[in-house]
Amino acid sequence: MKSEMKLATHSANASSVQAVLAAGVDIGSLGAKAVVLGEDGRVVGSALMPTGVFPEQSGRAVLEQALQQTGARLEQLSYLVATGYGRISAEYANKTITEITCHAKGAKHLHPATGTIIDIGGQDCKVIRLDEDGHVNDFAMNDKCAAGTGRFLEVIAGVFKMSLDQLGELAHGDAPLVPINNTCTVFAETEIISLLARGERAESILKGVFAAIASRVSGIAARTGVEGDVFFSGGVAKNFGVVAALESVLNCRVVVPEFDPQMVGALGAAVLALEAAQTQGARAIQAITGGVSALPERGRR
Amino acid sequence: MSWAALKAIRLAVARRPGELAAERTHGRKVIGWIGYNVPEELIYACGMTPVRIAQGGDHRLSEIGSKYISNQNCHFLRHCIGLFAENNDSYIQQLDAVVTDTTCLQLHRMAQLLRHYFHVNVIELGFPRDPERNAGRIYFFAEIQHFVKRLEELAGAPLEEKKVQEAVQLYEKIGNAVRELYQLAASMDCRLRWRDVYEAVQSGYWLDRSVYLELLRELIREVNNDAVATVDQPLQPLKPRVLLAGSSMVVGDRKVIDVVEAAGAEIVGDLLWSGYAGYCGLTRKAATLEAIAVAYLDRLPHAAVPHMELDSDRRLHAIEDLAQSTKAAGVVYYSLRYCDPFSFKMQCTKDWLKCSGMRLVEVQTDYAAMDIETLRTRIEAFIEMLEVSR
Repeated sequence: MKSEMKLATHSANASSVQAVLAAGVDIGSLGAKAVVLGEDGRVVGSALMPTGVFPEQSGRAVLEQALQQTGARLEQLSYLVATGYGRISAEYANKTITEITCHAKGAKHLHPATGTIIDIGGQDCKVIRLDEDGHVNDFAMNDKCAAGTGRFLEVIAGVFKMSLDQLGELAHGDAPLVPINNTCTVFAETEIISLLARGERAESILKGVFAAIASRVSGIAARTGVEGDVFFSGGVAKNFGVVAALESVLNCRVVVPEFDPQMVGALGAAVLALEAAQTQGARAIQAITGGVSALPERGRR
Repeated sequence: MSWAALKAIRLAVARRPGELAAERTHGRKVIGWIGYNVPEELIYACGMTPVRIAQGGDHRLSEIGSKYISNQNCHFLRHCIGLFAENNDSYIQQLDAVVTDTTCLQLHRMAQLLRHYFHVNVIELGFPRDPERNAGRIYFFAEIQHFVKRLEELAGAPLEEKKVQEAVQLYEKIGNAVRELYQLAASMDCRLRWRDVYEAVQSGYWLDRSVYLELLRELIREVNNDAVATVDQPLQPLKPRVLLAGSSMVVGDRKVIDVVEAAGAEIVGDLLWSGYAGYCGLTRKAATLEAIAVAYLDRLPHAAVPHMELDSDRRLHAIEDLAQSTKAAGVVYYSLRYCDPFSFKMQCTKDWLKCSGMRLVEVQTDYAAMDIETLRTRIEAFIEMLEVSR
């Protein structure tokens, strides 16, 4: 179910550049995302691109792309927070914060009733519990195996020779579910090929794939418990089939924001950056090519 | 802070393989031990040199170990087998026999493999599943007597009562010194840090017992003098304080420790069998075999020892008490991959601590470096969570 709350967005031109701009850059394992906020908290720029093999360059590039929409230069950014697995490569950021804290901030910002966040990204899956104030109260993650994550779905899409968007749509029909025993990316691929050879329908197999992902997520959620509204972020949240499977296994409504769920971490980073900028006052950071921020801070790593 | 006594400990460790070689040329036997309830003091009392085998952290050695046992066994176990298979370690090369116990059944598998593949003279000490029941206590006492018989055969001489008394006194003093150092490191008024104590404790795996006691006492003296001299200064860093618990973090297994410290937290204590847990509640009330057996039966139980009722599970109380006494804000719980006893106990430990407002994060990892970023994210997020609640 889509979130009722919409985040105000607009594209600014150079003449409407605001005095305080704060940004978040989320350098994930598969995608790099950036969100720029004006001083009123509105999204004035955003961008998304594949991370590729050079996270440091991807982070800079996606940030520049988002800034282009605002007409602003990097020097006009008051504060920048980097998150995601590639955050340690973002030497140009004022501060690095984990994606767990950033997703919590972004989800709470978009949907204030959020109590539990499910984030399925490129290569990991997290369940985050929030306290009444919106702070992280507990979290659990999958271990180093990428089973049931975005990468897993990419491989499955490859088997069916479909795009990721098509996967979710295909599983919308009334076809019966065929159980999948494996969420291991390698074994599941083999199992699906065997099921197709046996004559099972693609729609039924995909329902089984989504149910397997949901089952794995519910196992992680059992370690933290589920309370309040369940908010779904990360690229996999765009897949209707996984959303429906999660609602079924968790037996509750799952909120998917209208704002791009893949950008929630970057949004949270930007909101944290804006809070820091408002706390510290608007100060320019050095040019992106300068490498080192002018605002070194305790939490920077 | 650079402690002179710690430097002396490092020098003593560097000299130790050479000393062992010299002792062996004079006929003294070196006995390696791996386990949780091996009464090392009895090896010492029999006139032999005990050496604890507790190295880890090298994924290459775990992979070598996987040639002999399934890779779904714990990495420490596989690492140990790898050490024997490679036989390049200066301590492993000098062992005349190895003692293991059956507290953790994975160690029993290792004992069999060491005997089968590498022809190691292995003495296995049985430990009861339920150390509180009378039948278990009778069994363990019989095992201790059998253990002593095997040691006497190895030493070629009977165990003397006087030697048992000397050994018990010495080991009690070492235990007291280690516990005092842990207390000092947890104090806000002291510059001694947990990592210094942990290094000192792990150095003790190898050092001569009398020399080791003197070095520990020297470190305590140095720390106490330092604390008096700097009493008006803030001596402990103002960082989120965390306690380590879970699977053993043996020598060389630094991954989690390094990530926790890099994340900006201060480790203020541990309840690890490679550290404080080995000394927790271990008190010999007399210098007799029976008193020694009772001391091991009544100490803090290892995670592999079954206990159904949470309310009376001393392990949960111990971790809660230690977290409170060290003023830790949270617990980093280490689950070494396929270390089933500790992985299994994680959730009930987390739930138990939650009742007293204490937070716990589980980090499940192994000796490979491939998950370092996941680990960093998990631990940094935990530290961020602790910082918000400070």
